[in-house]
Amino acid sequence: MNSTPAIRTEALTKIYRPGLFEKPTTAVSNLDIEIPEGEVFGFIGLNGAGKTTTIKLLLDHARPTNGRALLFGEDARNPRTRARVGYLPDLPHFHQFLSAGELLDYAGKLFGLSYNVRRERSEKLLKSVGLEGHERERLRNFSRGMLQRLGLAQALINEPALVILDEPLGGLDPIGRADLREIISGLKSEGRTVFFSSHILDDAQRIADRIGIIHQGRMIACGKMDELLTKRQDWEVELEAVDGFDILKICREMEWQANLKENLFTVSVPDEEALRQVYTFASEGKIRLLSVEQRRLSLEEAFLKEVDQWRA
Amino acid sequence: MESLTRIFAVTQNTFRETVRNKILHNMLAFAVVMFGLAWIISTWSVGEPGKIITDLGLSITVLVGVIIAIFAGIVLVHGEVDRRTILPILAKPIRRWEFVLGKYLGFSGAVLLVYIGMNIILLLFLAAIGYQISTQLIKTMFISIWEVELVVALAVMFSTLTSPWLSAINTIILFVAGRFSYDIKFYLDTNPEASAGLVLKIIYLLLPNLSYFNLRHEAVHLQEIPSLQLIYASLYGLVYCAILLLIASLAFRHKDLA
Ligand SMILES: Nc1ncnc2c1ncn2[C@@H]1O[C@H](COP(=O)(O)OP(=O)(O)OP(=O)(O)O)[C@@H](O)[C@H]1O
Ligand SMILES: [Mg+2]
Repeated sequence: MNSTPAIRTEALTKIYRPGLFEKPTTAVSNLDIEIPEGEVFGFIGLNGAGKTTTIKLLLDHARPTNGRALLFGEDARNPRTRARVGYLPDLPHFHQFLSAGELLDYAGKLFGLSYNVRRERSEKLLKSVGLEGHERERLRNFSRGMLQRLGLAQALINEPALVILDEPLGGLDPIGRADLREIISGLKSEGRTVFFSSHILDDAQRIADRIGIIHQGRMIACGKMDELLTKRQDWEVELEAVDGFDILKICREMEWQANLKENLFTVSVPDEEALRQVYTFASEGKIRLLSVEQRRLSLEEAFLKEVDQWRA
Repeated sequence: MESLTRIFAVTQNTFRETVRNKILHNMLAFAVVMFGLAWIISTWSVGEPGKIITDLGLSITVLVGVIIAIFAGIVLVHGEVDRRTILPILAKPIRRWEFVLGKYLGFSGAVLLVYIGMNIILLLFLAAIGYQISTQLIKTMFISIWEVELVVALAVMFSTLTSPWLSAINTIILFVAGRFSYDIKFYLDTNPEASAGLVLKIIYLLLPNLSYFNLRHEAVHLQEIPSLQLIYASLYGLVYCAILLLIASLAFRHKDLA
């Protein structure tokens, strides 16, 4: 396997200065990402977190204020890097006066593909994104979801080694989502790298090998889905107090969450050390354990927790 | 070579966009109506109808050409940025200047097609009323192409720099000033001691000198038009357009796309 990463950013920073008297916005701040070839990477963040801005810096749609972005080891400001890249914009806007076939042909020409290759790939791609039979239709009459599908097709016309998708699931119906997931796993099985942004965590969880969480322009967490989740494991313990042992006081002191229902305590124990403590109480006969269950946080919770932690 | 392929792809797309533009169709219809009006006026007037139609017709074609150039040109690049259709395009291995040049060539090609079409309609009109078509008229029509081309380049340049409204205003101001630039020279020549002489001289040199391209008087009165004049005027037009495109490309080179 090739050791140069498909994407690498070094202290990538973008500060927008809209006007002389307006406050500058730091959209992306000191971002370091490294995405090896063949990986599916989910770039997750709330609205305004800096996802689209990062993608713009990768494609030289905007210039970094500081730091740099490399695609396959080459500075992203070099237009040549984009020969191996496919890109789906966050809102799919294409020339309304074109037909679907004409748009794909135009895209293919910009990559210098020959007529035969363009025809062949257009046909194949329209089929794979579910737009078969719409080739001659003007984009003016396309629905949002159809444009999104076409956007994906034009992003793949050059059989890119790296596919950058900004909110690829936006505007898609459930079938469209399933299709997209299939296309992405297809790309992965062909050894292509996929970088996609989303704020829908559930989708990221299903598609990505690894995710990065961006918040206010900074990467606040990055890793394999399992790592991110296991880091956040906790236990749910059901217990009864013995001889009036004041478990509630302990919980308050340790900042564990506890609920009492008909003599039965349900306690959220945050980590292994705390769990050991609970076992000690049990062995000392102060409490009776009824059940201990390891609970995995959903990505949603993990995400909100990261954001909360970062704020604190 | 690859660069040419990409430029040509943008050119072709822009040409397609422009010929499908309603402004173009409406203005073409407008020109034909105006030719009809010119014919009616010519039958009321005392002069020779052919001369009057030539005079009015040449003004109409340039005016319509310039209106198309301005109102379709000012949104040419800005519109792509604003509507974000440019994002997927510039995510491909195309350079910014290739995009600007491709847009210009495609647009100016379509405008040229319409402009030549209008002139042919005018010639047919004149032939139909039995007017002798002179070489002066053909030369005049040929050289007037550069006036339209120059306005196209102005509009395209402004559309890479600023909003459509500002582009329209700037282009119109420069077009009008360019038409009067000869008067500045005339003023300078007759008042060599003028106080703001140097400033005026610089302005005169910078403004597009559109009077080079306006030989209507010669066409109507069948005066001699030396071929060398055509060559000089064409060279002037070519260089001026090239400079405008260079400015546009440089300004667009590192521009952040919103
Ligand atoms: N062209 C611009 N000029 C000024 N500020 C900008 C510009 N583009 C983005 N911003 C600001 O930068 C920040 C990051 O925006 P960005 O579009 O990257 O967010 P995002 O993560 O893609 O959000 P979303 O989920 O809504 O698409 C925001 O605060 C936004 O207001
Ligand atoms: Mg975004």
